[in-house]
Amino acid sequence: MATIIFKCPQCGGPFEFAEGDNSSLCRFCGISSVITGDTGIHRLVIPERVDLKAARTSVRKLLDREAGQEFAASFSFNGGSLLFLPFWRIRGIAMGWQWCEKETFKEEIGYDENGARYTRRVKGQNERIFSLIAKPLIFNSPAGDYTAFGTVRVGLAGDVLQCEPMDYPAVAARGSVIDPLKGVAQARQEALAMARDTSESEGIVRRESRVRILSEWLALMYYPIWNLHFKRGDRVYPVIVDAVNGEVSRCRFPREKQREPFLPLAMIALLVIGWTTMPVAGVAATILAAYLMKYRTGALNISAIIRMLAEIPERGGGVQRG
Amino acid sequence: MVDEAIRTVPLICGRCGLWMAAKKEQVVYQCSGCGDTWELAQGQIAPRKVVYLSGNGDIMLPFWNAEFRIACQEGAIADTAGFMALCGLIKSLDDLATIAPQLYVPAFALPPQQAIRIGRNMTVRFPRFSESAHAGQPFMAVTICERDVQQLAELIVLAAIVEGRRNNPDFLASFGVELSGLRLVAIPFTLRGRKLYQAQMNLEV
Repeated sequence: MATIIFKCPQCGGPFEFAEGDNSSLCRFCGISSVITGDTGIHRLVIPERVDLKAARTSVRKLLDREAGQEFAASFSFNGGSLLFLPFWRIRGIAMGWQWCEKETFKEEIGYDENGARYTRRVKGQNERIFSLIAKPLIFNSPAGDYTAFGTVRVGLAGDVLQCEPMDYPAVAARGSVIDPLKGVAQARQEALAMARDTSESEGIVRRESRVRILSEWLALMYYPIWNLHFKRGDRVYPVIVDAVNGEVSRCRFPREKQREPFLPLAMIALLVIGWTTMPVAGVAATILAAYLMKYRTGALNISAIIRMLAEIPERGGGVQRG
Repeated sequence: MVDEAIRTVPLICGRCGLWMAAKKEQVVYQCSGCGDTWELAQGQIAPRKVVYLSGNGDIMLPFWNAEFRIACQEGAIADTAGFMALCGLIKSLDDLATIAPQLYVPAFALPPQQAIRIGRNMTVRFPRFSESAHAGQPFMAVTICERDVQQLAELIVLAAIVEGRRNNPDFLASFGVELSGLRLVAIPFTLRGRKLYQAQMNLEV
């Protein structure tokens, strides 16, 4: 359950509200306050815990760990900005009714003309089931398409982190606040669809339901992420870092030069085929391989051959997330 | 849906200026000094009238109470006799038969299924209460707010209706409950063992 921190209207001390509560008691001065916004949307923000420097360090560490220092050093940091992504969060009790009509079957025993017993499955009368739905509902959903930002786990974060009331000018001064693309009606529909029990579908021929959310707590929760840019040569590589836990959620740092395993493998195959067929073909294959070797590496010596062959397993190197 | 800035409002009685205590899930607040009742309306503490009903007992339980009419495939049912017929009840109510049926929705904290069961039992017993002079008496914390009553009302009325009708999809599709004169009432109960008992309705909670 997320906790929202306010200032106590009486003593000014930190005043905690658990998500979904209507009122709370200040632990310093002992007075009760209620939270407003019953009919509106609670706009909350999860404050960033990772600053720009720490986010950059997090990316550097990832590159060092997965591709080595030399590879990490080939990228230079080219700036970054903080973004606040909106997520819908609905808590309440899903209540309503559900009715469904279900096919039923029964085993019928009969005897054929030879007196042999057989059983067959016969369709019975449809069963009609009416049930009440009453279950707690916790729903999290991105208020837009954030696939470009990788996986941002606001659902989990909202449950364990402290959040603050959204102070738009203060938050906009720290970073860019993304507007929600998905409306509250759509978020509610998705939450209700989740609440309806559609797990049993076998034999269901018709289903009707009317479910609503009681004691609804509706919040638009802004989650912080860092959008960083790294550069190598003329190319810019965007990186997304979770500004709460510092994890790199999306990046793609390719190797500067793509490895070409085809040529070394083709040379080996050529030599094997040549020398196993006849000596003349073997000599011709060796000459051709030497020519290709010189063309590929610019030198014809043992160290160049070893270096070229060592490149085979390194194909596809680089660092990628999301 | 209005976009509201989230903020806190101190719980101070608008009549005597005392700080009011409240449970986390409470939606109606009662001043321990003067007994007045308040709620949050449009971001401000506003008075909420509670009607105290007469009866035996010293524990007041809050209920949302309203007259209701049912919309269904047969048309609108606005009297107690029609509602009784839908419920499959055979009961001689003479004078009550032509008046609007009364719905009771528990306003205190209960598991949803239990709230529906108690609301159903009270609604089908057609209790006759008069107003009491003991206004201001403390009552159990109200946790169901006014906007949630409609949905609970539909479920309570549905729970009272005979199963044959509930299993009819055409009936369900056209079914609706319209409330009028919604008010918050406090009904006295007596403690009997570990349960609360209302003598007029012969109902245990």
